Amino acid sequence: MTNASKTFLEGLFAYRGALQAFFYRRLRTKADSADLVQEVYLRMLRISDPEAIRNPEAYLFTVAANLVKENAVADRRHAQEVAVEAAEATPALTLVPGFEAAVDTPLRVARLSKVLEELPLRCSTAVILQYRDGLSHQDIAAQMEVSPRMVKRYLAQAMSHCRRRMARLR
Amino acid sequence: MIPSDDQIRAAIAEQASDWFMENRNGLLDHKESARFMAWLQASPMHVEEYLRIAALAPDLETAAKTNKTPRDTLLARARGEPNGIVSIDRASFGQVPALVRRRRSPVSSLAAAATLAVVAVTTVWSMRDGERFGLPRTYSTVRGEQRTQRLPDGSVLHLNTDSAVTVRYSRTERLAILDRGQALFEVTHQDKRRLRVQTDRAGVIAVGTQFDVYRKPGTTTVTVVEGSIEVYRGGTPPPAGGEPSVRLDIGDQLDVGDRIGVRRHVDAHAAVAWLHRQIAFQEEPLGEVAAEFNRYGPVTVEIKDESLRALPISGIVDAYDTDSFATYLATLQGVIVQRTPTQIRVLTRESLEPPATAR
Repeated sequence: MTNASKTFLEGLFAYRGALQAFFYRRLRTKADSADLVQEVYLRMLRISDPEAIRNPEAYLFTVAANLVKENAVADRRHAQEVAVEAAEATPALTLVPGFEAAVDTPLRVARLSKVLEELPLRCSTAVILQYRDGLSHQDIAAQMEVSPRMVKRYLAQAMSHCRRRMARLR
Repeated sequence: MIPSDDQIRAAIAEQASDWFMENRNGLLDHKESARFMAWLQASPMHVEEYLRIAALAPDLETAAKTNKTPRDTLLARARGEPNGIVSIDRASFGQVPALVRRRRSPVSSLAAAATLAVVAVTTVWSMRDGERFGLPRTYSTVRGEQRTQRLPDGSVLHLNTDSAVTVRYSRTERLAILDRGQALFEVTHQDKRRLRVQTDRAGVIAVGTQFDVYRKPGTTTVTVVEGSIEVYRGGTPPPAGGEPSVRLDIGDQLDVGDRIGVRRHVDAHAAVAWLHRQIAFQEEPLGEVAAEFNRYGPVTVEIKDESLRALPISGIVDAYDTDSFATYLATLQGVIVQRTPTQIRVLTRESLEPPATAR
């Protein structure tokens, strides 16, 4: 692989805000993360010719991002209706910090650093070599003296562990 | 969330991580992308886990960058870590048989290969410990401690506060003796030997299920969280023609003391609330709830008044959160709560008032 490292998260950044809005902020309207996930899933199911989609991940992220936008628009409409009735200006398009937003980014990152320390050293080392040092799986494998498959295994375990530990924050 | 749900989530999160890494390696080829799409369409949980992993990744990058340890130091430490202890803990709960992928993509074969490696290492590890050869091994917790342990056959043992289980494997059965306290067993299907849990009063026989056994003085309470089990009275399985065992299904609970009690249907989630350090109770006498609470923290609840002990209450409390529990008790009508460093005394309002001033 030609230095896949530098580009590891490239392509994700365009969707970063939308993805995080999904889980770390509560949208103003009734929809919460669970409803949104259901809706994304339904839209993924409705694809008439799944084979035709070249990049399912980009498609998934786009569906998710659109949904966040639609909700924001619905929010604004809702806010305007309220504003008329209550004769009170409400800032449009704001994502109101909710339950989950109590844990904002710096706190989340601090917490995640702690969670990384709970991992077996092989797992956390693989994560740091990939994300901090920008090494490819092959390079990490060579440095750790294990197979690239094992490196992927460590990384998958690390991500799965972090995801679950962070979920318990709520 | 019940434990099985947690396990399934863990397995899906690992699959999601695998796919996430595949996607980071560049555009998937036609075949792979069809497989990935099929995986996404298979379940809303797949979609959710994938989105969550993707939302987590940028934070993970930021977190990794806060680590200042030099690479050589990290590598030296990682190499020094005992071989193969990659996943004896919850991190490895991913290998749930039901979740084997239908189509074997390179991703899954790779995961399977790694799983095999982990299993092999775990086997070596446990053989060294002798459990496979029938040597008993005891797992225990002290008061206020909880612990999760993966057993050599792949089953998972959750120990509640102040509990002990001795495990002994033979050719024909996996025997777990609950020496004291409470344990939740998640029994794997993969091992065909029956798993038997034994207390002083009762025994449970199971293959591939989840159930909770709580050994109290004189009584053992068994609750089925998933699947079904057979329960018998006494210290050994009944001989043919002896007292029949009772079959319990999901959500069933049974007390076994001098006699086998009457099967009742309960909220299985509530029965294993302790996994989340919680005590859940529904219309249960305050005295019993207090006794439950007293199993955990250093502060105990004392209730002398009989009528108060019989008062039915409902709720969910954190088993270790003394303050909340005291606050909750103080909201009960006619109740006064006194705090000392080691005790919460619960009294009726009348008992505090001198007789002369009584209404």
